[in-house]
Amino acid sequence: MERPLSAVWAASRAGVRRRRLQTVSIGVVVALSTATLLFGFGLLAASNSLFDDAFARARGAQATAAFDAAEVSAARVAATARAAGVTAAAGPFQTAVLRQARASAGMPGPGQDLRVAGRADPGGPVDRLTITSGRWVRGPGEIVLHGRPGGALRVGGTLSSPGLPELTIVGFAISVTGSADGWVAPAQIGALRPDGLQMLYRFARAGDSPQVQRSLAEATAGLPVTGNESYVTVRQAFQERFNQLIPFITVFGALAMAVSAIIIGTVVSGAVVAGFRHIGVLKALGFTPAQVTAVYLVMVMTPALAGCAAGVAAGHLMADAMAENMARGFELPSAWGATLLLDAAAGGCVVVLVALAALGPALRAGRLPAVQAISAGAVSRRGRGRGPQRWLARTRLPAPVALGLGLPVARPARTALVLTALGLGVTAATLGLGLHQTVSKIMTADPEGHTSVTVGAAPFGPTRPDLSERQVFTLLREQPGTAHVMSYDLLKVRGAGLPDGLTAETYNGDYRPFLGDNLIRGRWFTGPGEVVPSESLLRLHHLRVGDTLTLRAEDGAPARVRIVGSFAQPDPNRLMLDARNFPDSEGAAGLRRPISVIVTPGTAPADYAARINALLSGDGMSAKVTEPETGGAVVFHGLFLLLSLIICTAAGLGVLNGVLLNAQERSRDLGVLKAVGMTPRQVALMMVTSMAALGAVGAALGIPLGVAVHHAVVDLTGRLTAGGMAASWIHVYDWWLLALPACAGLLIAVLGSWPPAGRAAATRTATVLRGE
Amino acid sequence: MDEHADTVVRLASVHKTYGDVVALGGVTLRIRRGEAVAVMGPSGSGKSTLLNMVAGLDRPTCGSVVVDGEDLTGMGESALARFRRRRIGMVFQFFNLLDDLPALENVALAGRLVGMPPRKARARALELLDRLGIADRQGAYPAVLSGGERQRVGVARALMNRPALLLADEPTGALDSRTGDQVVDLLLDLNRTGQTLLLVTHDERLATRCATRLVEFTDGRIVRETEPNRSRPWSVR
Ligand SMILES: Nc1ncnc2c1ncn2[C@@H]1O[C@H](COP(=O)(O)OP(=O)(O)OP(=O)(O)O)[C@@H](O)[C@H]1O
Ligand SMILES: [Mg+2]
Repeated sequence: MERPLSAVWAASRAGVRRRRLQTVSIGVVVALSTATLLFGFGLLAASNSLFDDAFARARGAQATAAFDAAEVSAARVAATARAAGVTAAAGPFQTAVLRQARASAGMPGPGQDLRVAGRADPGGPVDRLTITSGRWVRGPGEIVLHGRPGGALRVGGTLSSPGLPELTIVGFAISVTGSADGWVAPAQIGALRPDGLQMLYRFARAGDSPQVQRSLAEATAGLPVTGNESYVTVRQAFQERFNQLIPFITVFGALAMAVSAIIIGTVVSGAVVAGFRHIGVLKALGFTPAQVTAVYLVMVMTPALAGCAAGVAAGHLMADAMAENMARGFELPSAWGATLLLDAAAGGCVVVLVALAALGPALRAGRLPAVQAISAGAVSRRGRGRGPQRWLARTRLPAPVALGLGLPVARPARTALVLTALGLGVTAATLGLGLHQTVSKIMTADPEGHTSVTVGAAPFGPTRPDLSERQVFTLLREQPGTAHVMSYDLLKVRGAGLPDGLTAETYNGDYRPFLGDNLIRGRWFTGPGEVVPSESLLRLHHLRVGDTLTLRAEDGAPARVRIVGSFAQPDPNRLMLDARNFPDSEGAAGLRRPISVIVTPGTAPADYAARINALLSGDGMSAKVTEPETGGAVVFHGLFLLLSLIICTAAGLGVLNGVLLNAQERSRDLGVLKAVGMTPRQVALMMVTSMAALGAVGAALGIPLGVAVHHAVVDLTGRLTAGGMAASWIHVYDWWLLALPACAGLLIAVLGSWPPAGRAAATRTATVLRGE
Repeated sequence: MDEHADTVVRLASVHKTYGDVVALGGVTLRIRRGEAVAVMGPSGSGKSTLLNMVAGLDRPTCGSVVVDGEDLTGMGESALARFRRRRIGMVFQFFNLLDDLPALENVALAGRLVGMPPRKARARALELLDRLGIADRQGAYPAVLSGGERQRVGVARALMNRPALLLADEPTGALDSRTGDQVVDLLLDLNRTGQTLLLVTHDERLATRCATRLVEFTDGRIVRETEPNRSRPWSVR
């Protein structure tokens, strides 16, 4: 069969060369979907392993323990490294706090309290640091900061803290668990008034939080530990952020695949429909059905393979860049995106998908009866859609418009193809835009999303501030630029009939503007006596809005609260309520609760924070600008925008291809119409009218479908994940969000038909009629 | 020569119906090697249907079709395609060239299909185009060729694999009378060198000029057979 294969090759090569738009569309659609899939795979792989990989490679500390240097000697701390259950340890490192540290050459702004450790070596058995910029410290006068250069903090800059020697920033490094904010040489730390000792451990048993705590307690037996941090917390914070988004990433990936499969299917179907005569000729020449199928498959697979290769290359680069970005966002030392295995998986998936999508139409081409195919050009088709056409002809519409509107009805099969491409394009774009909107809302739903400045006890302050919460509220409200003030804290509570270990988020003050839009049912609490539990708590315990709970803080009086709503949150042990429900535990001895402030519009949070710092630092308090969520809101924003863009481009190309094909096909009819006396302008008007009609119908079908699919997907995600979906995350469509894909569909339809319409209008009638 | 080797086409009471329409109503016909048979008749009388039967493009509702010793009735689609590529050459009223290939490749493709190496196929295609007087148009795409040129390319393509039978359905139907005459001369020449020919036409003048036998059709049946050029020495071998 080798020889006849060459005939298949010859026939398909010619098809590929001459049907340039079709070939290019297939190539681009495949490239985009391969890139999308690879990107999605990379993302899923990263969500699964980004932290664990980085943690394993850095031999991260499973527990970090801090000791008071005044109470324990370094030798006794060092001895804990040899305790049973400790597999590796680093330290003790002397630690000091640089208060109100700021870049000397920096812009004015609030200083930061930095906890630095004296450490000789970035490597070692535990917590190997990754130097992201510059170099490690070599001696006194130098410091390496955690993270990456940014703003006034850069290699070569200096850092000063009141009353302490100035330090030159020689580099930046990342610790996977963030063991310190900065590192200096051991010879330097003595000059920074060290007051603590830090010890980093890896244990034989550290699978979960209790295990880590137990192992740590065994190792440090008897020693007073002033603070400890478990890697489980860090990992959880990382995964929580991620898990909420995985369903969406999956939906996007699947969506991209579906869109490209359907578009490739319609492109190939279009090629078959348009190639009726072509198929007949091949058959008359003696191509077997299998060979005809092969010709059409090769015609598709050639550009598809090229597109796939390009897509893998682009997707690989994108996935790497994304992983790098996420590593930055999550402050991880390093990450890799796509691997060769993922490349192969994504490429293979897409190739199989394209082959399957093309197989149907290609088989149809092979099965097409030869006689029917060959006479397709010569025999007139049976008149269809005559009713609507006759009706249109009787309306008062201008003849070209009436004829144009009738054209789609006359050729239902071809019209259906273009309509499918258009409708799907609009559906995909609508769905994509909606999902993007939903994810953005999820990312900014937390109360922190609304906070501009937080005020609290200075983190490493010597004493507890002695101002009460009420006093600070009053003080802040007197400041210009303050819009809303509240305090927020977590409180362990017990509920009658509920398991132990409930965490209540208690709010005080003017909290309503801070509450996010992550409400699923009912409304937010407005005062004492009301509670809003997490949706997962309601579901788990079969509670309903309107039910009453009895809650009790550790040692306080019980509070009876009515459930007035629920919020999206996967943790089934969470409640939100007014802090006044637990009067006993409210700010008894000085300020404990961190305070959040929303500044008035036009007030710069940094200036505001600086002002508050100047005002309150004497009282052991500090104000800090709330940073945008470092866990990657920005990264995800860009990511979903990119995915939507890819889906919309693929859909747009499919539409354009269908429209162009349809318009080209009609050039013969147009020749006939011109022959009977239509002017070129009328011909062009007719073509554009017919496509605009299709565009309008496509939008009319695609928009509701897209909205319906969006609601179904988001709702289903909410049902499947414990957290639930807030109503405001489901109903995200504004009129402009719907107008966008509708206009795009119409625009593509009209623009796509313009060039062939113009060409058909311009070519001489004789040429059109003679052209086969 | 025995009768079997001498017969290229043998139709035995071939019927073909499309729903209620009877396209062929029992056609029995034998064509000998070297004959040029012209089928005539009013529109819709079943001429093209007959040709499609012989080419194996369509199947009879009942009756048998034997071409060049092969019974087409029981063959599958692929077998029919293989039969077609070796034994049949087809010429169409509207040429039916592949727009995507230049003239030479259109002709060579038929050769590639039976396993001819590309170089050899191209050489033979060029030789045929040369014989038909359009070797200088070998690189042109169908869209820029004149009707007569396109039909010559079509004929060259049909001859590529030295078919036992050349079928032509109104080969001059889309051409002006002068160009049409040239194509007819071409077919006549071919028949003179031994090519068996089955021709469908409306044009009586054309039919009488080049056919050794004239078959007239009405409503799917043969109503008359004549041999206008009986004296032609090559008509019966
Ligand atoms: N695929 C088909 N489906 C239904 N009817 C068909 C089909 N092909 C042919 N016919 C019918 O069969 C009859 C014979 O058709 P055929 O094409 O053989 O006529 P013809 O003699 O070639 O006519 P013309 O000279 O106009 O080409 C006609 O009535 C035609 O309508
Ligand atoms: Mg006919």
